[in-house]
Amino acid sequence: MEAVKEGYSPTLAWLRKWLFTTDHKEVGLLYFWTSIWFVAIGGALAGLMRTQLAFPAPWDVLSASAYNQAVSMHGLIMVLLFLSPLGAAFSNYFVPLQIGAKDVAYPRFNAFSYWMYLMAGIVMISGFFAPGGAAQAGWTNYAPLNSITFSPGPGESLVGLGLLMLWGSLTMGSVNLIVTILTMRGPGMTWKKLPPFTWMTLFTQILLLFSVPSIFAGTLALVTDRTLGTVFFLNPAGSTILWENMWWFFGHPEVYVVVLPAFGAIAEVMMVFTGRPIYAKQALMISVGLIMVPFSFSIYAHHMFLTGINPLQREFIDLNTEINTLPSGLLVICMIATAIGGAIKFKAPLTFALAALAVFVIGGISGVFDSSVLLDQELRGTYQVVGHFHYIMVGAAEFGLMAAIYYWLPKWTGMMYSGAVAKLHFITSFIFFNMTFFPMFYLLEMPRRVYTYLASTGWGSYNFIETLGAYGFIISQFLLLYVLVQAFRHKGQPAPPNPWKSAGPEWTSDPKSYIDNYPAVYASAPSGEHAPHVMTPLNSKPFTISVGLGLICLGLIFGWVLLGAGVVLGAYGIYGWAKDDLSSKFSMPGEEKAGETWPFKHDGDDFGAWRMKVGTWLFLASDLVFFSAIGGLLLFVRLHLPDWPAVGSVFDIPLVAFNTLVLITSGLTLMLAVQDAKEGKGASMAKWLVATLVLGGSFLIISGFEWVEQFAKQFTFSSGMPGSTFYLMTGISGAHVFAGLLMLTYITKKGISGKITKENNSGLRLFSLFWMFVIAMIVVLFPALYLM
Amino acid sequence: MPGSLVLSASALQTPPPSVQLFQNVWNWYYYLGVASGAITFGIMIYVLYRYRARSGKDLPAAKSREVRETWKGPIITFALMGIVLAAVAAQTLMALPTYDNPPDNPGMMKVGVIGQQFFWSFSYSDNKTIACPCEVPVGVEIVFNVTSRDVNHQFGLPDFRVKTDAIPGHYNIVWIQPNTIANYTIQCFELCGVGHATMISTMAVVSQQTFDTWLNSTASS
Repeated sequence: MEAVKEGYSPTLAWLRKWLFTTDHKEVGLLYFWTSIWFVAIGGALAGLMRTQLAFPAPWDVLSASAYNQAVSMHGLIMVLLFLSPLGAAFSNYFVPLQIGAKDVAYPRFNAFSYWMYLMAGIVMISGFFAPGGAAQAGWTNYAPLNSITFSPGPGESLVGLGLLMLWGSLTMGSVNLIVTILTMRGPGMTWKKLPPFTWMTLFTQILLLFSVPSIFAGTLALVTDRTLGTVFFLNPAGSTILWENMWWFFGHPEVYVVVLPAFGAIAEVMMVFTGRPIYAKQALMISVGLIMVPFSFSIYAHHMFLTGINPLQREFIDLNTEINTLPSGLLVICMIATAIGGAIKFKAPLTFALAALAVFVIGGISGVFDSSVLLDQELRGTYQVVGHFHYIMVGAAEFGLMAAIYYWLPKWTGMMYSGAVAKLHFITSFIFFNMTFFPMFYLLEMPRRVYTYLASTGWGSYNFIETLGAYGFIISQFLLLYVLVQAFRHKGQPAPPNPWKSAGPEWTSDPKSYIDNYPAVYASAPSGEHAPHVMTPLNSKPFTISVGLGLICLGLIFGWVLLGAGVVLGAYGIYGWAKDDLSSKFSMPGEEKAGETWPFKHDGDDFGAWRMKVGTWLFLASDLVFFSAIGGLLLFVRLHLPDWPAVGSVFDIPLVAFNTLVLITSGLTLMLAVQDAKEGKGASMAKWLVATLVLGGSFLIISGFEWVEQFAKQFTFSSGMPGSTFYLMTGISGAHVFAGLLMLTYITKKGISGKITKENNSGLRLFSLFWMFVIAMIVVLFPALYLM
Repeated sequence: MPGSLVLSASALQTPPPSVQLFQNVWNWYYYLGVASGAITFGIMIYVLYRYRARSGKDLPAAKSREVRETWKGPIITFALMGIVLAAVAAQTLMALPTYDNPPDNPGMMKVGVIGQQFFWSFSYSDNKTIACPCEVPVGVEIVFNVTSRDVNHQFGLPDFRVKTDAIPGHYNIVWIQPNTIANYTIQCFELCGVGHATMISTMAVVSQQTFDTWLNSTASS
């Protein structure tokens, strides 16, 4: 609309709107449709695999290599590019509506998260067009199969690079949504009234915030292994066990990341279609928040029972895993008990919610078998496990999210869908789902990820039934596609504003106008009034930077032209972002009044600054986990490798000590700058900022000199574990300092032009938090690296 | 074995110790698991039928947002689930020491297992490593010390219900006591590359005499 005014043709305006939007609802829809595209690819791969497995050898549709590509990319796509982003689509769209916020906390970062996710997917999938094909080391990318020695093709590198982008996207997204829920609840929206879907989003994002940094560090080590020749995953002192720890510290919480948004949607649907409040909501949220979320980090090692880890640890993990069954069981019981005393209407959303609950029971109980250290010795790596997690992933998560689609589609599009088509979709999906995955529970001896098997095993008939079921399941999803396309093209019956007569806050705004958020009033009767037409402005930078980063990743594999284009585009985008800020070009529409602000005190800052502060602390918490993962990596390697160069034999300790001192001094000058800013002494502040820049820059130059010196001494990336850990850790520290210097350059420019004042200096104060954090990390890490 | 007709070892006359242990623990999980599932489904179906919407009865939407807090139900749920989970976990923990630790039997035989892309070898002594198919003597406690030369593999003897990771630079132990002369499948259970699906071989359990002859007549590979 705004765009049309500026004289763009309708097509261009449409394109501009969708490429540059920062509105949470439009970003939510982008997430939604992108995840649908990815599920089409992941589903096609599943179809290929099932075709190959339909008959025993010599049936030969896919080669072993093609099958391994399909199995690896299917897992990566379905978990990371389909299920979690589909949950994020709903979170993006409905969390601000449910809590009465105008948008998410940082709309530009929200768009940035989305574009990074899309580019990550493109980079990962582009492996199919690379020589040697896509990644074939499984979705878990176990070391050392993931190394360049055993997976020489570029496919695995592309997955590593894509994953790095995805971890960036997830970190930004989780900070954004957590800050939104913590600080932007409208008046009246107290924690006690918070709708279950928003609760589950909060838990999901907390899980992501703390689990992603571990695999971020792991993926970084993998990518440096594959591109620079470090040896983290080739040297037995690191290798499998190191990777599995870093992967599953993320990978296990990821299961809850996938399932919890679905359960949030199921809870919403249960309330609306039974007419009853959630049974024991408080107890349920407490048990999920205080048992499921923290315990999901403590049990990841149940994926590693057979690696030879300490037996006591194994038994401890076994018990923890079973304890973590309790909140899952309570979820199911509370959802069922919700219906007691209700008037249950079996509409499409409810049927999918109930189906999700039912199959979650089967998936959960079959999982208890796998939690047993003893039974795992038979079940591990078999189709029983495949059946188990597909009952959780496809069954509970996907059916739950389908309930969400059918529930919220009228809100998205203003259109009703055909109940008959939805019912047919439900019946076919449910039958074919069970037909595909239930026979797997009988294949207790069939290994996962095999592309063929012998006829003498007797597995053929089970597999044949599974394949038929998979075809049926895939075909029945076209019914959903039909429903979606009809609704989004505004064909069919227009929906009333609140077709389900839901009391959910997101339904009290006009369904057709997905531009307006309802004014932040909760629990008032739905009325026809709408907020004035406000929209978060368009901004091209998230798109530009993401495409730049994507091109850099692709360029590392496919050629220097792309790489160069990526660098130019990325730098242009970052520069533009800073320029937009300097000119205050991008600002949130009208600051709303906050309601309850517990647990964070909002002391006198304006809301934007307060939000930034909460966000900065959350990001630093996540970054702390990242540094801990790096420190853990060093510790792990040192414990497993007694052979280590003596202190001072390789590194120039006096130089490093001097350099650390330079960095610490830069912290001091920054503190003085902050003090001056608070007192309103602009000129003096600017001087201290420049001093900080010079000191920080010197640190980088001296570090660079250290690298050159080491290289000259033939101590390189591939000089065994000592070389690998040295370059990774100093590299990460240097990258943090470099990013800090970029921000500092911007702040200094702002300071010199007099834009940092006594009243308005929150940006500088928050930056000083980050800078102190980086200094603290380096002060802790460097002695561990140089003096241990 | 309930619930699984395909585990072929049920055809063996006297199951080896690892299979007996496994079977006992499995039964606990299986019966309690099926019972818990059946009870949950029973409650679910009853509730859905009992409280189905009947014509003329429609609850006001606002009622669905009322407070409905209770701790009794959640505590009972936790307690009931806790009992079932404790029962099965106890079975695992009680059986585990025997399953994990080979009995200190003077007649036991140590066999090194080496996984490689894409075959298995048994190492009977420092200078005798034979690519599978391999043989082991019947009635003897056999302790496998499993490792890998390249990537992660997983050494699985499904008929004996034992499995362990084969990891380069690491050594993991599993033990069996075969008591029936037959051929048994060795298979890899961890994705290890293009040959993963065909990384299958055979372990023949034979009489001590046959085994000795075979070992002496087969050249080290």
